[in-house]
Amino acid sequence: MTISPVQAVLIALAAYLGSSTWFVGVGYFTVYRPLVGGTIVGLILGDAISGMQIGAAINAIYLGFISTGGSLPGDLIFAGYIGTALAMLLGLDAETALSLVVPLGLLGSAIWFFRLAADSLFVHWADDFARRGNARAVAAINTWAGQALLLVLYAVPTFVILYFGADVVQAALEALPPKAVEALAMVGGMLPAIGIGMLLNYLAKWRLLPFYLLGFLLASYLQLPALVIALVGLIAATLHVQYAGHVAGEEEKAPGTSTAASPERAKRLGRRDLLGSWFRWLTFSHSCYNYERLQGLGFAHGMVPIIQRLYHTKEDIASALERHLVFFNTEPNVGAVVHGVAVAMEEERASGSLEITDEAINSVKSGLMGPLAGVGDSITQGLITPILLSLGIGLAQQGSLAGPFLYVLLISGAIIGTSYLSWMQGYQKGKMAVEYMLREGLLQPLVQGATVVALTVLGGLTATTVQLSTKLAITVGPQVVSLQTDVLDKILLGLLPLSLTVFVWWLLKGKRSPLAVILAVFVIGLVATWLGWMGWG
Amino acid sequence: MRRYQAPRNNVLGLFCWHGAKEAPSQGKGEALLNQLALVRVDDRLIHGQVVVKWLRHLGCDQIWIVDDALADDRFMQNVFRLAAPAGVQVQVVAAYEGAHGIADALRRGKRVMVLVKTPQVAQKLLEQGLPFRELNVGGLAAGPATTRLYKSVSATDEQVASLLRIQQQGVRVFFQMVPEEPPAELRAVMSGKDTRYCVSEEGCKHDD
Repeated sequence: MTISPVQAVLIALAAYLGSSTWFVGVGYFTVYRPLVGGTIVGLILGDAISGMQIGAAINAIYLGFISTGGSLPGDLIFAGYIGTALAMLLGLDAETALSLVVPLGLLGSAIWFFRLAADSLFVHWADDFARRGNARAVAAINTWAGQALLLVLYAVPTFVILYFGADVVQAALEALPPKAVEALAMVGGMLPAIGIGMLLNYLAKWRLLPFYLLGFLLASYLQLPALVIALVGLIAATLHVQYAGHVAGEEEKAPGTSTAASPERAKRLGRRDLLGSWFRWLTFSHSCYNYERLQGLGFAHGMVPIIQRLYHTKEDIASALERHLVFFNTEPNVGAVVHGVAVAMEEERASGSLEITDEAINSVKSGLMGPLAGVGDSITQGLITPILLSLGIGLAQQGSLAGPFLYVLLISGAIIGTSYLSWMQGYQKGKMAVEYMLREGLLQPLVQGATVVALTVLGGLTATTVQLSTKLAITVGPQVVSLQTDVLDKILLGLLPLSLTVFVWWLLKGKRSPLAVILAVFVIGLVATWLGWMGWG
Repeated sequence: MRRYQAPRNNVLGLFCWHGAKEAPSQGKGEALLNQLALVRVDDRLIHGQVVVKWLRHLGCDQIWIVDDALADDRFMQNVFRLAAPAGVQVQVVAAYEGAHGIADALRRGKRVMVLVKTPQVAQKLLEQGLPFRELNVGGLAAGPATTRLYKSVSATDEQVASLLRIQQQGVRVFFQMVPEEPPAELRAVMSGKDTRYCVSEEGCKHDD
C-alpha cells in the first residue's frame, strides 16, 4: 500500500488534532488514545476496520498509561497514529506492528518534554498583557500560541515519517531474516501483557485476584463478548461492595468542619458567565501546558469571563489576571471544583468582602489543587479510562466499530459530567464542596466497585489480546506429544498468556521499572523464538 | 563523594561511625531508617504523582506532612485525610515536632513518606536529628524570584542554598517527579549553574 500526499497530510493533521485542545476537554481521553486514533488513520487510508483493530492492539500496550503533573510514559500520538499508519502501509500484522510501536512512543515523548519547556515562553508573553489589563489577549495566547507550536511539533514529523520513512522501514524489515520477523511478531503478541500488568499492579491487591481469573475464564472458555464480561464484572462489583463492604478505618473521625454552611453572598454572576467560565476551563486547561506554571495560563483563561463581568477598571482587571496566572496544576475534571471555588471567592471579593484577600484566594487554590489531583487522577485516569478502554478494545477486536464509538460516547459523558458537577459544586458550596465530594462512604465503595469491574474486564482482555504459545514437543516412542496442544491446553486454555501477564505484574510489584520489563520481554521473545521454543503451533 | 554520616544527635539513636574504627551494632536504627520510604520536597504535597505513582511504588502506611501553616488548618488536614487512598494515614505536624513525631511512627513499625513544601523544612528536620539519607525534590513552583533547576522544579536562592547545605551533610539530593523516570542528581544539575549559589568550597567544585 502506498500513501498519497493528501493522505499523509490528513494523517499529519489528525495527529495534531489528537493532541490538541479542541475537543472540549475530552481529547486526551478520546482522540489521543490509539483505539480512536487508529480508527481515524484507518478511515483516511480507506480501511477503518483494520485501522481500528491495529489501534486497539496498540492501545492494549498502553492500557496502564497515566500521565501526572507533566510526566509522560511514552507518547500515544506517535504510537497510535504513526504506528497504525506504518502498519497499514507496510501490510504488517498487528503483532509485528506492536514491536515497532514501543520505540515510536519513546521517540514521541521527546516532543512532549520539548513542548512543556517551550510553552513556558508564551506564559511570559501573557504576563505582559495581564499587566496591561488585556484579558482577551491572555485568552488568545492560551488558545493559539501553544496550539500553533503543537501543530508544528506533531504534524511535521508525522508527515515526514509517513511520506518519506515508510520505504525505509519496509527496506529494513525486508533485510531482516524471516526468523527475526517471526520473532518480532512473537514479541508483539507478548507486549499487551505489559499494559495489562502495569494496570494490575496499579489497581489490584492480590486478594482481588479471583475477579481477574473470573474474567479470564469467561473469555477463554465461554468466549463471551467484552460487553457481557463487563456486565458480569458490574454484577460482581455490586455484590462485592454490598457483602464485603469497605473496611472502616480505625482512625478516629476528625471533627468535621463541613457543618458550616457557606455564607450568603450577593450574586453578581449570571448563568452565562458561569457556563462560559466552566466551558473555557474544560476546553483550554492544557492548551498551553508548560513546566513553569503547568495549568496556570489555562486557569487564568477560564477566569476571563468572570473577571470581565466583575471588574471594570484597568487596574482591577490587571490584578485579577495576574492573581490567576500563577502556578496551578490539578486533575482538571474532579479538580474543576477548585476553579468553581475560585470563581465564588472572586464574586465575594468583588462584592466588597474584606475577608477575601489575594492570599486567601491563592492559598485555597494552591492548597486544594494537590489533594484533588491525587483523587482525580486515580479516578479518571486510573479507573474510568482503563475500564472503558478495555471494553472498547474488546469490542474492536470482534471487528465492531461500536468499540471506538461506544468508548468515545461513554468516556466523554463521564468526563464532561464530572467536570460540570464538580465545578458547580465548587461555585455553590465554596471550599466546603471539597469535603462534601470526598466524604466517606461515597468515594470508597465507588473505587472498590470500579476496581472489581476493571479486574474482570482485564481478565477477559488478557485472554483475547495476549498471545504466547510454545512449539516444543516431546517424542515418546512413536508418538510426538506437542507441549502446547496436548499438555498445556488440556490444563488451562491460555495458560501461557495468563502466566506471562501475572509474571509481568509480579515483576512490576517488585519495583522493576516498566522500561526494564519491556526490554526483558523483547529479549525473552527474540531469543526463545530464535531457539525455536516459541512460535505458532 | 563524601560518605553518608548520620548526624550525631539523631532521634533514631543511630550510631555515627564518624572516626570510629568499626561500627558496633547498627541494626536497629538502620532498620528504622529503612522504614522511611521517601523524604520529598513538593509544594503541592499530596497530588497525582504522589498518590498514583509514589505511594503505590513504595507501599507506605503513613504520610507525614511537615508544615507550620497547615498544622493549624483543620480544614486542609481533613481534605488531605480524605484525599489519601484507603489504608494510608495522613499526619500533619509543625516543623518543631516533625522529627520526633516521624521517629515515633518509625518505631511503631510504620512505613512512612515525608512531604515538605520547601528545602528549608527538610533542612530543619535534618538539624533536629531525623537522619534521612536521601532527599527527593519533586516539584517547586516558579515564582518571581526563582530560577528553573529541573523540569517543574524552580527555586529561590535561599532554597538552592538550603539544598546544597543538605547535600553537604552527606545526603543524596536528587530530582525526580515520578518513579519510572530516571533521577537527576543535584550535583549534576548544579554543575551547569551560576556559581553565585556557592555556600562553601564543597558546593562550588566544578569539573572544568
